[in-house]
Amino acid sequence: MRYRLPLLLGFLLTSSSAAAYVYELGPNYVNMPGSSCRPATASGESALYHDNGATTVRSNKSLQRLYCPIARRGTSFYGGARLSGSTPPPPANTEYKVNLGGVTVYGGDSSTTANLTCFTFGSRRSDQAVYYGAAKSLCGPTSLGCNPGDIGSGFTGWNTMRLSAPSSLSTVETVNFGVSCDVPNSSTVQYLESWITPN
Amino acid sequence: MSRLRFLVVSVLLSAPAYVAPRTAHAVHKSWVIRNDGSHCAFSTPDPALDNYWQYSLLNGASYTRTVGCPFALSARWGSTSPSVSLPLWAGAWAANIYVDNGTPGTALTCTTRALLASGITRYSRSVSTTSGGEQRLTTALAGDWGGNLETYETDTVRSMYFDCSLPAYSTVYGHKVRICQRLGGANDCGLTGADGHGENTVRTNSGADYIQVSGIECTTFNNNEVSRTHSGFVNSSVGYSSVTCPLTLPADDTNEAIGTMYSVSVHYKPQVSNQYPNCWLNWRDRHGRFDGTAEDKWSNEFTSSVFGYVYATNISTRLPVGAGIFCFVPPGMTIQGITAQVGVSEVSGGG
Repeated sequence: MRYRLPLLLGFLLTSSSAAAYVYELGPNYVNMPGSSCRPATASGESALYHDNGATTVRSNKSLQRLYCPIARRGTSFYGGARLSGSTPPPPANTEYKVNLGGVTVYGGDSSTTANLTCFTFGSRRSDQAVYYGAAKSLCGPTSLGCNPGDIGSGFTGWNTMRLSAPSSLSTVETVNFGVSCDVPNSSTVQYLESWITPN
Repeated sequence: MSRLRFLVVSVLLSAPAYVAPRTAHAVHKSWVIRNDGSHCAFSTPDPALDNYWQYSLLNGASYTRTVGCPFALSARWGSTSPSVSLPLWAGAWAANIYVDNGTPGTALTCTTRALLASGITRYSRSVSTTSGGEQRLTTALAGDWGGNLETYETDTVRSMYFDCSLPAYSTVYGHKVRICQRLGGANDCGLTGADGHGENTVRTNSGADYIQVSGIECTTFNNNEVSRTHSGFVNSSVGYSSVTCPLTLPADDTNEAIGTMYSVSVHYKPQVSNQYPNCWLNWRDRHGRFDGTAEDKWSNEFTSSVFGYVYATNISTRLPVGAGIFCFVPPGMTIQGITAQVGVSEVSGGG
């Protein structure tokens, strides 16, 4: 009986000195190689290279539309039961909601006749209504990208562009969203970095 | 005398409280990031030779080809207590790729590459095998990348992928990396379970997370008449199409969950009413195997629902090295995406 006190004391000290990690720090940064982008059709693969972690349109091919996924894995903060208890249940329908903060795309434009242009998109689960973000093109003056209508097609080189999320996408249910890019010949999508507020 | 004995016993019994927790909860933590083989793509694609099947990619050519297998680096959460920032660097405990060499005697070689914020791509050690059959290649172990990536492992990483030369009729089943939660000194991970594959790197699942996969990630097997739209993956042909949709599983905390998928749903839009896809969950289970091999597994066919999805529940997937959805999709149908509730490992350790 008398030995229970030190045992209890030891247990309490163990519990208090080993606070479990609390995974409530985000956002969910999603880093995807450009090689994860896919063409609009299966046969369109023949117009592409997926080398060095990037997707490049072959030099003898026309402008290609690519679909680049944002594979976020968990839709909420980590749900593993904590040593100190259990995580609260995620919000209802958490798997259908996405709160996309934005996307940075890094690429190279080798065409003087067309721009490398990208935009975000998401479709509503119930009726496939599509929500689009504003399009941006790679350009020289800024790493944020330029509005396609504000520039010519003369830019060549490497840079980033910053894409905003489709307005109102976070309020609807979706199971299909990502980034679309129109990529001229000999041009490349190298990587995408997205940030998502978990549900 | 009795008091002295009480004091000695008290100290002995309470000693674990001071010692064991610091050992048991020493911070060798990581996020386990898994992708399956159907995420891979050949450097020079050829739809007639790129055989996407279930959760894998087979080189259907009679010659060696270069294949890239991307990681989706995501769900690498930070902690508010203790305060640990988001681990956005390239530091790894271990990295593995699960392959089948279909041409014994020809080298199957893999390297992990990381494009860092500096704009420079660094690489791990290269690992090669000429042995035929199913096996595991490990490019990082015991917290060491080798190559020139180890020196720069604290840099922010923009993208990471396996780069392999894949002999004729060889297959990639899946690949994974354990990104360290902390780096440096006693906090560095890699002191146990050096290869990231063994029995001491797994736990039974104790929680669950939801995942979502967009239809645009799906691929097909030998059918050029499919297309991607902003609504998903469309079978544009006049007949049924075999479609593979990869699953990006949750990032497990330090240990892979010997897990269950509590629910899996394939969301679709039919061209005509009363139409639904025939779908199965397929995975490659390495549970109980430590030699790099695994076993092909599949669920019962999903049950149809009137709500625009087919589904399955409570599938014991245990330890998949790759997992994907395989469907026969009717003509005109759009696969919108996949959702699932997947078991995850318990939170590992404390501060």
